[in-house]
Amino acid sequence: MFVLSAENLSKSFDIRGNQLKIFSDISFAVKPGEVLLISGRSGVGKSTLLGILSGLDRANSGKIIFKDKDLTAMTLNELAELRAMHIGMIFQSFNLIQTWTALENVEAVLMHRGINAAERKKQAIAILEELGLGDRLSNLPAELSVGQQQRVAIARTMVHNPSLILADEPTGDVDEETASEIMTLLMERVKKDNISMIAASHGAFNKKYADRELLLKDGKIFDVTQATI
Amino acid sequence: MNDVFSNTIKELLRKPIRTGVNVFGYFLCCAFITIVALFLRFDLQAKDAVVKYMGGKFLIYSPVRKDGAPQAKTAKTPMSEGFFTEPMVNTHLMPVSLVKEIAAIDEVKAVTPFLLFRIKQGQDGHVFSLGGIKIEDKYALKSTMVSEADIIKGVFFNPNDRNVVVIDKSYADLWNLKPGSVVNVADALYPVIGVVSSHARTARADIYMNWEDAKIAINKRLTVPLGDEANIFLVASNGGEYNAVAMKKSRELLEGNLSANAVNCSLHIVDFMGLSKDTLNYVLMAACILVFLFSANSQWSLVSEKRHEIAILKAIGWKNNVIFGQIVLGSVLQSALGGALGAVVGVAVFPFCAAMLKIPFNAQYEFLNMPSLFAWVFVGIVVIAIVSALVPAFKAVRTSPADVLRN
Repeated sequence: MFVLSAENLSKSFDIRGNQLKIFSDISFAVKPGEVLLISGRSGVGKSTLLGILSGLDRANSGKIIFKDKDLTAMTLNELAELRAMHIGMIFQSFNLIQTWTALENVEAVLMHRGINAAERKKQAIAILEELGLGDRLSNLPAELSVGQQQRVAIARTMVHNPSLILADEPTGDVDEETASEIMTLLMERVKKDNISMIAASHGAFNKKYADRELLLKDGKIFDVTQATI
Repeated sequence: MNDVFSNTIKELLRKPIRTGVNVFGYFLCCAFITIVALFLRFDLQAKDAVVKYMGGKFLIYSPVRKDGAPQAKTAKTPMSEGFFTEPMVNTHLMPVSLVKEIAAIDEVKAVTPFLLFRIKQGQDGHVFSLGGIKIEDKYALKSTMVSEADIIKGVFFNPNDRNVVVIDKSYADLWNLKPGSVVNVADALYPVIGVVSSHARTARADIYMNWEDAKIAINKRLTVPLGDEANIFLVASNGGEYNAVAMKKSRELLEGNLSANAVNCSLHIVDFMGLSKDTLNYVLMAACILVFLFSANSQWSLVSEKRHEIAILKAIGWKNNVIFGQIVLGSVLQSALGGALGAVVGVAVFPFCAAMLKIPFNAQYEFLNMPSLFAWVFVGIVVIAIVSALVPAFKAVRTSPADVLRN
């Protein structure tokens, strides 16, 4: 039983009439609670793959099954709902909304889901406090350190208790010490709640957190777990 | 829906200067449209008042058609002379006895025959129009052709005046004539006793004469002399609201023998008055287009500016309809606030604008008591704001979060 499985995914971009192949016929699956690392050099298509797995982008061919549902057959609204309910995303550059406070950034995930404002606020404050940002609720991202911003991003990812986290270079923009601190916080939650995670990294992500590693190279994917972990 | 509303309000308040500028833009546009609409309303009311004051007047004649019967009584020099009406339409003669039949129509109050003849002056060959009127038919003549009220110099005819003329101001100015001057009509000299200003009239003549004098002068220019005939009937109905029926019945009366045209004098006259309805409509249309462009530009800039933000919100699970709704609602709220303020201020400052443009502002016009106008302007602005927000909102919906976040 897998949380997510990708079957024969292919993706290419049309750049001024030329087809740029990113990857083709790649297949893999993630079990519940498993942390999967997708490694590879910059530009090989790791972010593109995560975008496709989250439903933000579409593959040219292939199938993605998430909890028995075929993502490739879903409408944009169904995919949005799926992200809102089951998938959390962490971006390398945090992607916090700069004009919103830390609390509002986290609360945004719970909006438009029929949760009343007070409950929304309560849940958002709880997770921000858990991540040590209880005194930074009303700060704008620009008023926070890089580490604090990433913690807000993690809070935003975790606040709706997703069953899958897609992390794109989650510690790419922070120093080693902060990265370690962030990953400790993230992994604690992942393990505690048995959340599956697919992380894309070109190296900064410490492999010790992964249960399995897939290498994306030359448009193909290779399981390198035995050799590296 | 509550979330969309509260979030939209929050977003508008987050950028108070941008929101303020947008609201102010809608405010200015709406105030301008309100003022223009009030001018239009004023214009229509003023014209209505004129029509009511004048009562219903029209003239009726039988045009000579190309494929119809020619004029029965032709002039000796038919190329330059003949019976006609404005604008240079040759007419048939009709028996004056029809006056009684037209007068018998329920909706008709008064009717008088009129002779309008284009005549060539013997000395220098210039062409002018000669009008023959029954001076005693004052009511039917007033505001259709000429009356004592139109005198600007000298005096008007007395019922018994013979062998004198009253001339139109434009003709007097052209030939430098004034009361006491003498004019030559069909080789006879007539002293001028008065000058009239016809203003805007459906029909007018350069020189007016008593009916009998006119017949004598015209007969000199015809191959067969006039009987008891006229080429135009000037008719006054019982009021503006009866005009259409009176015109229809009069035409039917004549059409047994002749085709007839009826021309409403009041409508013709009000067309010359005040502000042109079409002009104001065009101004209103232009203002609406400006509001649309302003609004569309504002929303387009907003969506372009928030492209990254929209991509993040989509990535965390916001649906397209939520994003779409929030953009349109933002536009609606700003336009509603600016529109309401603009409409109120527009109504409030209208009297000052009217005074500045020297337009007589009269309390009898119920300018300030027009909730329907206020509502139309307000609703119009909001509708424009919604329509103009649609394209930017679709742009937001079509934003690909993957592309934006990848870049």
